[in-house]
Formats: sequence, C-alpha cells, structure tokens
Amino acid sequence: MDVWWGEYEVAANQTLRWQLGPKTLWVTRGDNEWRVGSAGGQDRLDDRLVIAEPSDEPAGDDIDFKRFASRSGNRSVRLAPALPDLDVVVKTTQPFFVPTREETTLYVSVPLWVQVYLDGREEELMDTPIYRPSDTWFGPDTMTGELCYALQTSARLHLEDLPRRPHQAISAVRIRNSAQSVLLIEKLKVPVALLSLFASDKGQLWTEALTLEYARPAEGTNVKLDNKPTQIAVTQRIAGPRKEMSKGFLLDAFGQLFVKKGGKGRE
Amino acid sequence: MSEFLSNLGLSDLLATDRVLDIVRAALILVVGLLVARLASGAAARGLRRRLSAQEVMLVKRLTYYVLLALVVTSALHQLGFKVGVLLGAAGVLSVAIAFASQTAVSNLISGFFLIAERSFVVGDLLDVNGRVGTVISVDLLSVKVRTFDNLMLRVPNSEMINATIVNLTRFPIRRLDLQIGVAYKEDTQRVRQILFDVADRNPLCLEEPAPLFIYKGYGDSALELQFSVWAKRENFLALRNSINEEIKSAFDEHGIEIPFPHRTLYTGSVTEPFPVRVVTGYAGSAPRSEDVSR
Repeated sequence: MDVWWGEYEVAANQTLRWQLGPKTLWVTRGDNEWRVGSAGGQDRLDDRLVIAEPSDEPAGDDIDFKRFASRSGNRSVRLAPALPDLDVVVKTTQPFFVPTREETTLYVSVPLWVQVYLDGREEELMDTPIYRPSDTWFGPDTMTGELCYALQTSARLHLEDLPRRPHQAISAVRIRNSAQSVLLIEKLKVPVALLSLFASDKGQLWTEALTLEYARPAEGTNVKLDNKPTQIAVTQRIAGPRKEMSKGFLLDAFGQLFVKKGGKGRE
Repeated sequence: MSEFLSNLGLSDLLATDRVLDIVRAALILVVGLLVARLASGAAARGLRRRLSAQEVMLVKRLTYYVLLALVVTSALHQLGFKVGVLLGAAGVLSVAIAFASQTAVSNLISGFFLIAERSFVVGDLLDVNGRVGTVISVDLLSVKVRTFDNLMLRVPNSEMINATIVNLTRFPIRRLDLQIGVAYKEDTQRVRQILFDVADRNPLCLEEPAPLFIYKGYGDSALELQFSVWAKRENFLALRNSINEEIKSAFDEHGIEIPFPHRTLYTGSVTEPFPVRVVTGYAGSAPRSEDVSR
C-alpha cells in the first residue's frame, strides 16, 4: 500500500492534490498565504489513492476552503493520519459470547482523519475525516451516555476478513473475561482517542494492541495499552493519542453499566 | 453656670464626641461594606465548582445583604439609635411593605424554588409558552431569555413556576419526528426501506437509538407515516434540513408520490358524465373545441 502521509514540498503558486479514498485535498502555496481545500464524498468503499499530484486550483461551493497567512519561509506541508476525535462503536455480526476465563482478539477497522500541518509548525491547518462515520449514541438510555461514531464494518475474528483501505487503520482488541459470568458482546466501544498510530513496513496503519479486561462488571472494563501493535514486526509511530489515559481509567466498553437514579455513581 | 461650662469648653467637647461617633459609624459602614463585598465574593469563588451559576449568585447576594444589614445596624447603634426599637418599628413596617409588594415577594420566593429545582440553567434553550430562547440569567425576580430574533424576554419568576417549560437542551440527543404522507398506491415496505437508507446515509442521524417507522393511519389523501430519527442536539437543525431534502430526492428518484389533498367530484349515481372540452390551438387563434364524454 502506498504511503500518503509525510512531508511534501510545494513550489510557489503551485497546487497539489491528494485523493484519499472519498476525500480530495488541495494545498496551494500562494504569495504570503497557504490555501487548503477539501471535499469529500460519502462512499466509504472508495479506495482511490492519488498522492501530491500537481493540479489546478479547484473552485466550487462544495469545497471547504481555508486560507492561512504565512511568511514566505514555509515551503512544504505535512500530511498526517489521525484517529477519530470520538470513540468508535463497532458491532459484531452476530451476538458473540466470551465464556469465563476465555480470551479472544477482535479486529476492528477504524476510519482515519487527515491533518495538514505547515512545515515545522505544531498547529494543524486542517483536521478532517477522510470518510465521516455516522454518529451514534452509546449508553443505557437516551439521557445518559456518550456520543460516538458508528463503524459500518463489523468487528472480525480473523484479520484476513478485514478489508484493507488506505484510509483505515486496524486495531486489535484483545478481550479477556476474568469475571464469573459469560460476557455477551453485541457492540463494543473502542477508545480510539487514547490510541496512537503506527505504520507497518507495507504501509498499513495500525493502532497499538489494547486489552479490555472484563473483571468486575459492576465497575467497568480495565483498559491496558501495549506500546505497539503486536501483529506486525516493523513499526514506526506516526501519531500520538488525542488524549492521555488517566490513572485507574475504567471504560464502559460493552454498554452494560447503568447509572443509578439521582446520582453520578454506576451500578 | 453656662458661662462656666463654656469657659471649660465642654460644649465643644460634646460636639467632638458626636463627631467621633459619626466618624466611627462611617468607618464601620465603609469597612463593613468592603468586608461584605469581599466575603460574598470569596463565598462565590469557593462554591463555584460545587454549585450552579444561579446558586452561586444567590449565595453571593444573600451573604452580601446579611452582612450589609449587620453593618448598617452596628453603624446605627454607634450613632446612638436604639436598635431594638428600630427593629420593632421595622417589623411593623415590613408587614406594611409585604402587603404592598406581594408580587415582588411572590416572584422572589418563586425564584428561590426555580433555582433549587434546577430544571434549567443559564445557557439552556427553553420553550416558554411557545416562545423559544436561550436563558441569559436567572435573577431573583425574573428569568431573562434571549429569543432567536434577538429580543430580550423577561418572564417573572411567579409566571415561570406556573408555566409548563420545555427545556430543549437538557439531554444530549434529540428526536426529530417527520410526518410523511405517501400515496395509497405505494408499497409501504419499499417506502420504509427508502427512508431507512436515507437515515443510514446521513452521518448526522444517529445509528443508535435506531430510527423509528410508525404507520399512523389512513388519511384523507395519503397513507400517514411517521419517521423519527435521532441527532446530537447541536446537529438537530442541520439534520432537520438535510434529511428532509434527502427524503424528497429519494422519493423523486424512486417515483414515490407525496400526494396533495384530493377532491373527487361525485354528483350521485344517476349523474350524466361530466362534459370535458379539449382545446387545441394557441392563444390568438380561434380555438377548435369538441365535447368528449367520459
């Protein structure tokens, strides 16, 4: 798979175009300004890939354009992949049971965002989803819960069943049931905001492996992050997490916690 | 004798004592006001994280006014007034004032209940008797709401406590109910599938809670359907606009008819067929007409 992220030099008054699946990006270096445009379709199966192709500057109402003032010192832009800004909820194809003292790994295909940075600068010019997943609500009722993105592809037990696209990363979620009861998984919340991105030598993006330990169902699920993906050998860390994990963080990964009436505690 | 006293300068001294009392009272007033302001500010800062904005404001004002009352009483005492008598007189006066200011007191007490009930806070979007706006402040006498056309709506607390208020932003997600009518000839299973596909394609439409399809009944001109979709409350308006457009386009694409009210003219079983005149030719030229019976 071709690598689309990295640094690209843009000549004065030149426009470069990227086509990342359904998303098209244009970057133009003008006189004392940079113009960044993006347009996106909603076809998530689109896997076109065009990297830094010189093009004409586009025009049209459906293009989201932004202009940035810049001294002439900057000559290049950096494109970086990023994980979604909300957690994602993935369904299993059928209700999936994990008996007590069992462990399984589910593979999840996570849609990516693309960030555009000016050379040597920390703040991004653009942070946009390559394919905008649908919103969904993850919670016991419509009053309590959390807004997440819903994934269209279900979690897979075998890695080879997972479609590979340039604008998706793979996350391996190990689920360990240490509780005294059988764990039923119909949907799973993956805390992608806590994860980093790694690239394999073949250009596939992965998140580090994470373990969800279901030990005390009443309290939440323990989350453990490995320091790299375990399924691939050669890796390079491409992007850090959107937020840091706090100590003693517990996740309601399986949507089984209910908020007590009139209180903030969970039962 | 008076001459003797005057020689001693006693009347001057008396006058000096009086001045001293006034100075002391003024000092108590100034320092007291300063302390009251600082103390109420400190109380508000201390409670800001634990209480809502209105409750903090209430605590701040109560602290300030209680301290102010104490300071004023001390200052009066310093000036030689008998506070007990004054308070007695104030008691009688307060009855008179209470009668005179029933509305204000009723608003004030309603204000306390509104704040304690926490049914809305500053920044919430409310529907009060059909007028929708954002709460800009909850004061002791009234609630101030900014309507969408940028008008300031002042609703007295007593009215607020009796009114049925809809808080549109209390919960993070909202349901949008679309009332749709389709022609009787349409296959409702197909219509249902088209609606679900539209909801599936719109990223603002929540996947869970899933959209709801309700067959409402047989209307005068159309099959009446309700399609309910959920959205994040901030995206409610955007979803309302986008999904209606998308449903219309999907219906047009699949040839689903949205009927307008029909009227069939029937003049009884023995009526002769209506004569229909077919006109050919253009304006300006004499129309050729023929009667056609159906």
